[in-house]
Amino acid sequence: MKIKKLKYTAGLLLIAGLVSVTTSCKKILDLEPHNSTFTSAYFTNGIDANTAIAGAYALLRSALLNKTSFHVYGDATALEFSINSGQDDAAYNISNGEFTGLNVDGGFWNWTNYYQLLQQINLIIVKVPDIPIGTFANQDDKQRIIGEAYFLRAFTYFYMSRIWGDVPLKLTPDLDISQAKNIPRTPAADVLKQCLADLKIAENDLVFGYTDPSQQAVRANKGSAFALEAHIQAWLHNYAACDVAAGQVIDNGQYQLVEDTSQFSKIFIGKSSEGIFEINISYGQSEGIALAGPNNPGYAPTLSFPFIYSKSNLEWPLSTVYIKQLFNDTDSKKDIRYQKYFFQPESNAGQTIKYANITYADGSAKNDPRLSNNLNIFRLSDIMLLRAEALNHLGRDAEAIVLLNKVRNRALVHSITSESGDELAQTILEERLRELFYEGQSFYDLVRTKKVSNPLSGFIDQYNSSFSDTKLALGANYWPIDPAMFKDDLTLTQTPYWVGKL
Amino acid sequence: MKNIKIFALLLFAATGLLSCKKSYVIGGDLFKANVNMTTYDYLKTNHAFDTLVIMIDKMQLKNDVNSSGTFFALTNYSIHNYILAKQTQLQIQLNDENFKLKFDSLDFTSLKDSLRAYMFKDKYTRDNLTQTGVYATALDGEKRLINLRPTTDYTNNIFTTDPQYIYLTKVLPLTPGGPVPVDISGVLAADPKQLFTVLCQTTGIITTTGILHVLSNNHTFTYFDAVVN
Repeated sequence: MKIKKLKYTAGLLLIAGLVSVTTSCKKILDLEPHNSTFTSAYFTNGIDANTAIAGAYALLRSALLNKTSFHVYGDATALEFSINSGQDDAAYNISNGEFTGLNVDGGFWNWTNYYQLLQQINLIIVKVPDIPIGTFANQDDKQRIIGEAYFLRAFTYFYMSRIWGDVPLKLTPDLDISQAKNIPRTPAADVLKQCLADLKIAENDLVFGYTDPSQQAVRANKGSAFALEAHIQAWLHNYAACDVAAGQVIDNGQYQLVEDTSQFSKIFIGKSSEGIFEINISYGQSEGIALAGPNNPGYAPTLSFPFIYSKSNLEWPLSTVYIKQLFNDTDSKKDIRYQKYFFQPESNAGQTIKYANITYADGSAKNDPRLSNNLNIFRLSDIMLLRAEALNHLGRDAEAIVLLNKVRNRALVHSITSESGDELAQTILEERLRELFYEGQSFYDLVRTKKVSNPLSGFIDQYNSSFSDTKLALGANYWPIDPAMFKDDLTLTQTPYWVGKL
Repeated sequence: MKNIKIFALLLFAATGLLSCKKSYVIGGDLFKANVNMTTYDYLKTNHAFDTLVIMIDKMQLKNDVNSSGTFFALTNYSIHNYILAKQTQLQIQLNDENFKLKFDSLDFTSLKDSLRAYMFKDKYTRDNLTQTGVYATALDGEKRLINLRPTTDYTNNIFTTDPQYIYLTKVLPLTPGGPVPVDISGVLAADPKQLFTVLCQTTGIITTTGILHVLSNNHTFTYFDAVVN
C-alpha cells in the first residue's frame, strides 16, 4: 500500500516536472539583460544620452592622462625641464627631439585610445538625435549633449593633428565590427577643416555659462567651443578668425581672471572663474590620481618631497637655463608666477608645483598620496594672450598690449608700453611660456609662432630647444605612429619625417 | 665487509676535512662598513673624490677631515657644479660671456670654512638619527639639519615601514638677510622653501677616524645654486 502510494506520487511529480519544463522558461530565456549596453538596446532615453557623454569625457581623461602624455607632448618637448635620464629615460630622449629614442615606447606613438574615444563620440552624434526629447529629465539636455559631442570630436581631432599631423578622419561609428573599414590618413588641413565645421554646430547647440556649478569648466559650453576655435584658427594662422573667436570668449564668456593672488592655486585645483575647459581630477569625488603603490600608474614627475612625502626622486627638475631666460627681468623675482608655480627654482632640483594639491588617503602615514588637481586645457589668460598674438599679427598692436598687460599686471609685473611688430610678438610668446608653463601648450606655442611668410624664421631657435626652424620645416615636430598599427591596417603610412628612422 | 664500512667512513671524513677550505664567495667579500684607514686616506683611494682631495690639500684641512666625527664628502661632480655656477655668476658680474673659471683659480683660503661646513664633531649614523633629525653645528660654526626621510623609491610601498635615506639640509633665511632658525624647533616651523636638502648617495662608511657619508652628485658645493637669489 505504501509502495503503491509512493509510485503514484513519483509519477505525479514526474508529470508535473515534464509539464513545467516544456511550458516554462520561454519568457525568461527571451529577456534581455536589464543592463545591456549594445547599441540597439541603448540610446533609448535621456539617461542613456547623459551617461554616454559622461563616458566620452572619461575616455578623454584616460587618453590624455595615459603615460602623462599630455605633458610629454606639450611640455617635455619644449625643454622646460632638465629631465633626469636615469629616472625617466623616455622623456629625456623625447625632450631632445628623439621621438624614436631608446626606451621611448610605442604608447606615445599609438592613437588607439583616441579612436576608442572617437567611436563613443560618433555613436552619440548618430544616436542621440533619434532619442525622443520627452525622455530627457531636462529637455535642454538633448541639444547640449549633441553640442558637447561635436566639441569633443573637434577637440580630439585638433589635439591628434597637432601630435601626428595627418590622421585618419572617421566621422561615423562602426556599428558592426565585421563591416569596419580601414581608412588612410587624411591631410591635416582637411582634418582641421572638419574640426571647424563641427565647432560651428557645437557653438549653435551650446550656451554660455553654467546652470549647474558642479559642471563649471569640466563640461564644455559655448565658451569652450569658441576657445577651441580660436586655438585652431591660430594654429592655421587665420588670425582674423582667431581674433573673432577669442573675442567671443573674452566678451561673452562670463569668465574672469582670478586677481586675488592668495587664490592663485585654486586655478589649478579647478572650476575657478577663469577655467574654460578642464579635465576633472578630484579626490573629493573619488576621481583623484593615486601616485604611489605597486599597482598605481599615477606619475607626478615634477614633484617630490615635501609635496609628496615619501618621494625622493625628482624625474623632471626645472631647467634652470630655461627659467633664467624666461624670468630675466628686473622685477621677475616679484612675478607672482615665479613664486607660486615653482619650488626652489634656482636649485638644480626645482619643482613645478602648479599641480600639487595632494591628499593622503591613509592619513598621517602619508604613504598613499592622491593628486586632486584638474588638468587645465583652456583658461581665460591663455585665450587673452592668444588674442593678443592674433591682434599683433593683424597690426593692431595697441589693442594687443592692453590684453597683454591685463595678464602681466595680474602677475604683479610691470606693464609693456611701447613695443610693436616682431618685438611685441616675442614678448607675447614669452608671456605665454611663463603663464602656461607645464600646461601642455608651450611646445605648440613655439611651433605655431613661426612666421607665415617665411617658415624658416620663428622664435624656437632662441629657446635652447632641441628643435630648429629647419627641423620644423621638415615636420620633425610630428610624432611617428606605432608600427604595431600597420599589422591590421595596410592603408596606414608612417609620418614622413620618421620614415626609415624607426 | 667491515673493511668497506671503515673505508667509507674514512672517505667521508677525508672529504669533510679536505673540502670547503676556500671561500665560495666570488667577486669580493661580505659587506663590511669598516675600512681600515683614516677618512683622508680612504678618500684618496676612491677616484670619485679626486678633486675633493686636491681641495683638502690646497686648504691644508687634512687634520680637520681626520679629526671630524662625521664628514659629508663631496664628489667631483659637486665641485664641478660649483665652478659652473660661480662661472655663470662671474660672467654676469664681469659682463664677459666668454669668461672661464678654472679650479686652480678658486680662492681656497676663503673657501676653507665652506668645506668645514661639511664636517661635524659628533658621529651621526643611521642608528642615532631620526626623521626629525638633529640641527648640528659644523666645524665652521654654521648649523645643518641632518635627518632621515622615508622613501618609496624602488619599493613602492611593499613594506609597512619604508626604507629611509639620510639628508643634509642647509636652512636659508626666508628673505635675504633675515634670521635663520637657531634650534630644531625653529627648523620644524620653517617654511619648506627655506630648506635646501641634499640626499646622501652613500652612507655609513666607518673609517678609523670617523663616519663618512657621500653627498649626491647633484649637489653643488656650498649650496651655491640655492644661495644665489
